[in-house]
Amino acid sequence: MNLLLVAVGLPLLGAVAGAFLPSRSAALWRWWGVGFSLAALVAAVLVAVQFDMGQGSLQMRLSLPWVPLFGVTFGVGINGISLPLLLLSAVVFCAAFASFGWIEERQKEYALWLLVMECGLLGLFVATDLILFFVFFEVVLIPSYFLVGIFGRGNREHTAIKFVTYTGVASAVLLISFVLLAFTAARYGGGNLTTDIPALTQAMGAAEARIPAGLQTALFLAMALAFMVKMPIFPLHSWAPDVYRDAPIPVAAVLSGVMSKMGAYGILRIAVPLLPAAASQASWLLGLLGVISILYGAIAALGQKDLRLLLAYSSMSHMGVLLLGIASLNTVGLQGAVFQMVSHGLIIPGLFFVVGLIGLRAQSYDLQELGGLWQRSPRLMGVFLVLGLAALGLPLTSGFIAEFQAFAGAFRASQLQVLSFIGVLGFIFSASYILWMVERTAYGPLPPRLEQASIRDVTAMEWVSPLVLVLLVVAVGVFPALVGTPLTPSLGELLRGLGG
Amino acid sequence: MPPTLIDITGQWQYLLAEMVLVGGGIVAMIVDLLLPRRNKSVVGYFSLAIVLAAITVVAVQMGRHVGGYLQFQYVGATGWKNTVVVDLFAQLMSLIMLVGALFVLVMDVYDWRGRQGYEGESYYLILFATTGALLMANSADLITLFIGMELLSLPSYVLAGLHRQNVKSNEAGLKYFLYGGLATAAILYGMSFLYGLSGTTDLVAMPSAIASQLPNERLFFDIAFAFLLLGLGFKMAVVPFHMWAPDVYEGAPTPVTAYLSVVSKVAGFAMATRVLIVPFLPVVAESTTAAHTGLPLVTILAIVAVLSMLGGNAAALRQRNAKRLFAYSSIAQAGYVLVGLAAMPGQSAATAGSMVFYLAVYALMNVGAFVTIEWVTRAAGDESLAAFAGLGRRSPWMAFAFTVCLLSLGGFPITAGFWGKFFLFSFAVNAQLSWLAYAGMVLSVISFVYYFRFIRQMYFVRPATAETLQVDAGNTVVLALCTVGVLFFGIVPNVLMGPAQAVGASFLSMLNAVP
Repeated sequence: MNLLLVAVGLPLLGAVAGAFLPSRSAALWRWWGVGFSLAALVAAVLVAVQFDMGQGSLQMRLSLPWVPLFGVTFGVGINGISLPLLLLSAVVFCAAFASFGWIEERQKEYALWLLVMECGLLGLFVATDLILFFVFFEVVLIPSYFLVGIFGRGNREHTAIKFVTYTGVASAVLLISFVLLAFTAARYGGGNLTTDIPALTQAMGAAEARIPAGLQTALFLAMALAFMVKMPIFPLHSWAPDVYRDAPIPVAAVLSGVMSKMGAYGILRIAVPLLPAAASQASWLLGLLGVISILYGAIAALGQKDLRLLLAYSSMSHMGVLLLGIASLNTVGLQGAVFQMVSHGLIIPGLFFVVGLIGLRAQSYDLQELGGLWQRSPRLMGVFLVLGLAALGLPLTSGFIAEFQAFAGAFRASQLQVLSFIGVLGFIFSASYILWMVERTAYGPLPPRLEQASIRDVTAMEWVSPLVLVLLVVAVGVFPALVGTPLTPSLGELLRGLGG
Repeated sequence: MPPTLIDITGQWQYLLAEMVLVGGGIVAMIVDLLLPRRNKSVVGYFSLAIVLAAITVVAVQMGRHVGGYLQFQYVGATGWKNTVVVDLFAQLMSLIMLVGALFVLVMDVYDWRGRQGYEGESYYLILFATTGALLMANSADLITLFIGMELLSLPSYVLAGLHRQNVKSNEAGLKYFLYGGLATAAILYGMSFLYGLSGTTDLVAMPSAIASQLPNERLFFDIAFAFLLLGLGFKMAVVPFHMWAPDVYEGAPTPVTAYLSVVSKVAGFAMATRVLIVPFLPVVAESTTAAHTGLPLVTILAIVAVLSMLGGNAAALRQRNAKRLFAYSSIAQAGYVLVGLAAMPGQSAATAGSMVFYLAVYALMNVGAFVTIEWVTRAAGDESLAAFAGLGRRSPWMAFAFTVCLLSLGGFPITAGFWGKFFLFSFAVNAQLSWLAYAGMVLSVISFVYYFRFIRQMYFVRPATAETLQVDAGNTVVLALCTVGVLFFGIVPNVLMGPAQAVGASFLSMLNAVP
């Protein structure tokens, strides 16, 4: 049995088997979710143990014919780019289940939908076929609709359908672009129709000179823009503040931490390797959008009063750094991009958990109504401070390596030098909004409204999720080889395809 | 080998399924006369058995690879004329329509419980209409095709108006009749041009006869195409020929609405493939040459497809009545199939397979949806979306099944609807119609909004009553079959696409067959 299928299948098994159980006990569903997500994490760790760190190509491959007429395969496999993301997803989902306390009713539906979503995300990172990738891409969407629409707050139903349709348009463009790409490769390369990513990469490489450059650029832009919607990147971001504000905290953590990486991963894993010539032609556009997102996100974050909206815009700013790293198309920049995926994937869920715990205590996410929480809840605020510093790229945290490398790579790419100078300004803004955010919540006097309220420090169960993430943030910061070792050979392979 | 006697092991076996249905229909009519009013459901069960028998006939013939033409000879003429063809296309389309009719009959039997009216009539009219539908897929001749179409249409008009006490049902019947008559006239007029140009009504002989006439008579081919598209557009309910559909779907009894949206629609597409695509393939081929002066036929089909997807989806957004919403939804669904029809001249062989796949899946998901609509609206006495409030708590499995059908209609993965759209739009890409594929896929996103409105009602809104919805065994089985089918073909699409792929080959043999 392929270990990757075990990791992807366990959450699905949990969701399907759980549907037949009675829904009474809330505690059961918490432990049901924790159990299956932990099991998936164990499987993912076993994958990492068996992974050959020296090899850059896909490992643990399994490829079965699915729809032979179109060359669609049910193919999974893993390389050094997807391995960190697989582990990241498994960890973040465990953390999300451990922080179950926010959900007060209909726990069964919540746990089952979250498990379906985990299956989709884990599957996405190991899929080696375009159509299978798309299937997982969409499988994530439906649980998000239910999780936001049922368990969210505020104008949650509107937010949920906005999310589905907004990203649905992107998915529609993506699917037809995949199909067009497969037909183009077959038509100009003369080979069989296939949607298997490694085979298609070869076919595109062989046929590249014959495919009209305009078609290549159009396909690359269509796919890249569709992927950017999920990240999100300016100007395709308008769903994100709504969703991150209205989703229940654990779901916001998962969406911002892991789902947003689907888009970046898609650009890095599909759009760039399949259309390398178009990628290097259009890299200035990716860089430009990345820098605009860095600045726009950071400046918008400065203006937010709602903590969750602040995190939403900060997240967008960090996604900009990621895209800039990808746009550099060199080893350093791409390493920075993958580190940023992992780093941001650990930091932002942690911040959402902390913000959620603050909201639970203060009954408000409004920065103007908060303050002085260090006096009452030092452990929580300590975690908040570390995560905040990691988010602005303090050395010895994962954020430092990620952002440093992404920018270093961009400076080396000749087209991006001016842009990255402008992008660096974003650090000033992000330092301001993060320090302002921590200052307004942790320090100063307690507002009178909270004086009387009995605010307790975090319980062990509440603390565990953010704490584990903080530890991982520091671990990756101190030992970057944790991510770097498997990554280097795979990036080498990717860059060889780019001719660099 | 002249077919002088009705010998069902010879040529006549190509009409065996139709004969079973007509024979059963006549027996059902007589039995209905003799039965007392309270026992009419016997006719329903009998009709179910007849449809099952017809399904068996088609399945056995498929298993034995039966296929060929029913031919006859005019007195004093030489050579044989084709009237009926049995090929894989006809067989798969017949199976889809027969399964659809079977499910509708189950719905119908339960729909009549506790109602007074023309119960027996509704059963045998469905049998006769289904005979016509099968004939539309099986025809190798314009006259047979026309008879099939009328045999489907006339009972359908009556079926739509069968709830005589209901004003809306009366309106539906009359409206359907008037519009349908107009469509029939247009089709007949278009056919007359085809006959005049090719000198034959034989669809097998027609393409080569047309090819020889082409360069000189191009204008008349375009006229024939325009009239046929107009008439068939009514039958398939595509924009801008769709105006009758919302009123008829809303007013007709729900099982009849399901019948119109599934069986009639599939039959319309079968007929469109036979007369709107195959005879015109030489015409389209001529259009690719530089010298042609006619209409861009493929582009016209593509535009009608876009209009249907846009118009159907956009209008569905504004609906509050579930049945009316589904009328617009099936207009949009017909638009997706039209994408396949537009791709067919470029890539006929395999595209026909993708159309068959989509129609099979469409039959399942739409019947599943109508079973739910029927039960929920009847229990609530309310056809608005609010009737679905809290269904996720009242009847979790029914809500789950409906959700699967809705997601499939929307084209989400893990359901068969995803593969249906994938196949249709992929062939459009392959036929150099990428713009149409992009447009179709993006327009289908509009449908998420209204399909998710049902899901929102079922899961986000609290129910008005806590009592569970009691559904009888027959409908439960139908709904379960539809849901399982949608999921099954969603996970292993090749089970259906494998056979459907071969449709094109059998279907093109019609082009090459020597008359």
